[in-house]
Amino acid sequence: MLRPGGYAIITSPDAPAVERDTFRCAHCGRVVFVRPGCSAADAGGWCGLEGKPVCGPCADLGSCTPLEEQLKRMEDRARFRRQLAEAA
Amino acid sequence: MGNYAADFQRTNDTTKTTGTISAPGSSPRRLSIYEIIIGSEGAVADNPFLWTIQRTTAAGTSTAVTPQALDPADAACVAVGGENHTVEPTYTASAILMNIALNQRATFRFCAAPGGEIVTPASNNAGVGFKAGVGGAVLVTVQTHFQE
Repeated sequence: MLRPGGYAIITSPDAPAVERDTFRCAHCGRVVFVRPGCSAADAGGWCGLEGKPVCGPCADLGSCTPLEEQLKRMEDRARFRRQLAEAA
Repeated sequence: MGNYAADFQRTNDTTKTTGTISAPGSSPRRLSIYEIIIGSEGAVADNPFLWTIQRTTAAGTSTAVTPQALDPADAACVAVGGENHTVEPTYTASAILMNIALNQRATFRFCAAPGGEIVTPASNNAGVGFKAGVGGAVLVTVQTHFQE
């Protein structure tokens, strides 16, 4: 694929090496393996707001929550729980 | 921002995690995992494995693994590694970042391009866990390189 986000290879003594380009979902951060020649729908989806590829489950959600925002929310939740625990 | 390496080994147990890499309990930092290598050094066999890399919010109980700096000039890693878990980490439901179906005889390697890394939040004890929910009871190894 054009501008892949990564590369994966599986090597085995009994079979030819299997190589795949990968990309990171722009929403959840999942790593998606792209089979050469597969249809765009099988590879996942596309976030028009960010202009980046997303995984199938995030494409099905239909909403845009960027990875940076999701990470920020995880950090905020953890900080809030820590503050609650300290206050108790 | 330094690059670090950590490896995790255990006799595989489909109910137990092979390894975790997590932010520390205080002053956490985000981790960017850019390389993962998975294989088995056990006696050759045709066991199928299903490896899962999933977000964690607590590291569980395990044997400590100290990540090593790839550049000796870098500071010591603050992230905490663990292998051979006896108490499972707390996994975030549905937060699976990678699934790999792999034969025991095969080796898997993933290299991320800049911008394609697996990133964990800067939350206390948050990280990722590596586990094989399907697989034989053989020695397995997970090698990971990350930035923090």
